[in-house]
Amino acid sequence: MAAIIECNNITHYYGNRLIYKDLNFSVERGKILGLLGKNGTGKTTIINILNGYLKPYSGECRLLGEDMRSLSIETKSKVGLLLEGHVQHSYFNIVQIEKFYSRFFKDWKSEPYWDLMDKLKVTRKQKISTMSCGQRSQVALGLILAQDPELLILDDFSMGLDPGYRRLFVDYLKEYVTATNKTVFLTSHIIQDMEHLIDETMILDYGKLLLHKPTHEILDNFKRYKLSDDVRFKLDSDDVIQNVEHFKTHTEFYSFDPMDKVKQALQSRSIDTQTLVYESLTLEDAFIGLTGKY
Amino acid sequence: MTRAIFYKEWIKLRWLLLAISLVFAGSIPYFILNLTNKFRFAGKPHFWSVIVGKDLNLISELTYIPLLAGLIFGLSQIVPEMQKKSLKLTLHLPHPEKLTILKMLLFGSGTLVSIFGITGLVLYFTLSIYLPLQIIGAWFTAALPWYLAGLAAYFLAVWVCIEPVWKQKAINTLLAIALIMLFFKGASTYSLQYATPLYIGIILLSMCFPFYSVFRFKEGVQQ
Amino acid sequence: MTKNNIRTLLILVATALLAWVLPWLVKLSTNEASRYPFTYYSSVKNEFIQVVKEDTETRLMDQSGHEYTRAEYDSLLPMLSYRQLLKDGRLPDSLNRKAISGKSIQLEQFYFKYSPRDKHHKQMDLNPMFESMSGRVQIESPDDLFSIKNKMVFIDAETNSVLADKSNKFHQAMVKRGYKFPTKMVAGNPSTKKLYDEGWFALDANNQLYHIKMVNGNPFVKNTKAGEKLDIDFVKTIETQNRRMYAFVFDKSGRLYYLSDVSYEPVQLPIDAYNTNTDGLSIMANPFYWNVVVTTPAQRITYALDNHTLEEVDRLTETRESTTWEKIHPYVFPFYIEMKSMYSKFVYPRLLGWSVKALALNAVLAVLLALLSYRRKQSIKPLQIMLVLCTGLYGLIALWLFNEKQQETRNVIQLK
Repeated sequence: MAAIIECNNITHYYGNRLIYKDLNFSVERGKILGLLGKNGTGKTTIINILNGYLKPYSGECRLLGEDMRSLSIETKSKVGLLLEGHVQHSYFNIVQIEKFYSRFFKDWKSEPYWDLMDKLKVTRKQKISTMSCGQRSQVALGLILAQDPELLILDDFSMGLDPGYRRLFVDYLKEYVTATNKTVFLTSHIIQDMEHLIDETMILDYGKLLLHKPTHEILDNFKRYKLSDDVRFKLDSDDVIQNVEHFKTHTEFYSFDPMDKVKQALQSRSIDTQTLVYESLTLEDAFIGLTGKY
Repeated sequence: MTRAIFYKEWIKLRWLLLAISLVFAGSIPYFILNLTNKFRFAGKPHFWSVIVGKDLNLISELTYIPLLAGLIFGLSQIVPEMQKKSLKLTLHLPHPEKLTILKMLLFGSGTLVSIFGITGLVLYFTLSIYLPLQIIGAWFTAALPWYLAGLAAYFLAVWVCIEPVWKQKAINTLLAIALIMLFFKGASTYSLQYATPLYIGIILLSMCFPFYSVFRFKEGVQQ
Repeated sequence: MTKNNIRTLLILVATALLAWVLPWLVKLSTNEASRYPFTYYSSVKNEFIQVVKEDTETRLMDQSGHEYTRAEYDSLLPMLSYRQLLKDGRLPDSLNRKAISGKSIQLEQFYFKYSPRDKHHKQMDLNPMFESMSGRVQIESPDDLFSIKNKMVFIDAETNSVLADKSNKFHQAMVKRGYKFPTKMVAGNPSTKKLYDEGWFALDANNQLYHIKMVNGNPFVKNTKAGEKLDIDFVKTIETQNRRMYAFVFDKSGRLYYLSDVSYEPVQLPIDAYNTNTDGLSIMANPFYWNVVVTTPAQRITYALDNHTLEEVDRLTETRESTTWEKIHPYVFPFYIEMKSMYSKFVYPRLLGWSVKALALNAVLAVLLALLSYRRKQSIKPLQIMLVLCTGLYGLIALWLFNEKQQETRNVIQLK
């Protein structure tokens, strides 16, 4: 089956600053892919490129099999877009905005929108500009759900949401996507709650894609290892060991590989592995393990 | 979908439209009162010869009003679209992008033309109760560039507002100012009568300009 | 409509605007008024005396450069300064064997002025028809105004309605005399502060010049026959104390006449070919001479004509020094655009000052553009080079204003 999103060899610069070189990835139908990265790693840039709002220096993306530089109207109606900050036309009230969007989509489904709106403590005549960020996020989500798109693109949806709204958003989205076999591409710089939601994780660092793996694979295999001594050693670029941090009483590092392979790697450097222990990680820990704290 | 786009613009701009309409509608009784007042003081025959002899235009207070209306209208229509780049929402609609922008421009220019046209006609016919067509004709010949300037200012304001790069915005602003200045070069009643084709040309051109900046917005052009 | 098409439009519009703005800025910064000195023909010395203004100093001098005091100047030009001389008791009783007095000077004196702006200008088609034989000293303003374009119509101000009887009476009188509507032009003086009223001179559709006035409430319409003798270009009326003439008439072959009081006979002035589109004219007449001043774009000729025979007595030709702007623009700008003109009250773009000399600078700029593109590793675009070659600075700046800085890529985003 063809991928819903396919990006090949995307290279982009802002001025002379390289954002990424030869970025490749694809998303298959029914998957929820999370693009995680710190601020300024180019998450929104990818969203912009995907939707044809940015001309990349080189490379191409295909959305539902179509070139992103000239998306057809049909394709656009199959893509639900949530802009950073849950931006919506703020001069509308919730009745007006539903009326406006419904005219553009053949398969407009009002029920999920009104379901969500009924949960909000807003009047029908309240303008969106007077709503809180959380309320706005629900309006934006409701509109996307009513649009019933095949692909949902959500840019930094967790930004500005308090935990309640964030959980509400995640739960609602998860339930909806699982029930309808939708594909989701989302970005976030807040990793909390994300492991419940995303099937695949892409982690972006400055200038490159660090990793693209199924989320469960990361949670199952990516471990933090501890040695109870401050042991100094050098890392190779393709080492099984990553992100070594030294403390007064111990040394920490991360690895995708199982215990015995890590031991081998240490022993090859003649390091005593008797005190080696590991612990499982949350996605957030894993993210920090991969990208570092800075 | 045209109706939906018009609906959006209507919700966004209806209060401003009302305000602009009121200003233009309110100008009619003002001009009539002003005229009848002068008639009372100077006497009709004398005042007629003053109008003719001194090339007096009693509706000249209208000069910059359409310009302001076009400017404010254009800005009010596009500034909300540019906040947090929400123009992306509009361009993402499953509707041809150029047509979406064109329809937004048509809504803006259409309503402006309607306001200018209707209030202009009412003013013309009300004045014709008091003054001969030769005088009113001359006044409206002088006023035509003012109305056209309003329309051009609308398109140019939209253009400047959509432009994503600040440096280019500044250049566009200078260009727009120079273009608008051309509409206000008249010194006497009939001095601009041969410039009308130029003004129509400027309006048609400035109608295309916003699309250039929409293209740039779409490409994500940045400094 | 693609992005590049609109960009091309923008560049062309910017080029045109710059062709208007840049020369205007240059003119503004090199602003200098070049004026001809006031010149008057002395009926005492029989030569031209000039008032030369230099910075703050004013020098009164004759053609040999001899300078005069103010009092001497007044005596040399008694026709110009007769009121001052009368006040000082210095006005001679006779001059050139002719008795003169304040009154006799006044009688023969008139001032007439024509500017191309009189012709290139439009006024409302509404004018007052005065009673020419009111018997009153003061001319009285009527309660109605007439329109003469397509037919003769009087409109009453009090009621804003057509005065049917009066309109009919005049219209019929004109038609009966062979007047053909629509009217091409109407000349007259709508002021009540004039010496006397002679109504209006109207050029009809057949180029016939009619004299139309109101006498005792009735229409007076007469074909002056001047239209049969001349191909009339422009008419401007005048009132003189001695009622010697009705108007000055310019014909289309550059001759100037006055319409004499004797059965409207056109009398030609012996001056060089006159262009009503570019030349200014002023006439200062006195009992001895007419000072006829013709200012063309390049020079000024002052004629002294004999008051009676109208023969040329003397003439003075002065050429104007070029302004800085006139000196530099042919080398800097291949052309320029002006919206206003000193020759017309109409505002519209005028392409002026075509100059081949500017091609040299244009070529340098085009090479510069090509080098710049080469250094930036951009392809050299022949159309851009052409634009700079033809429009020079204007085109180059316009290109810079709409320069696309983005990296050139194969990717183009299309708008649907």
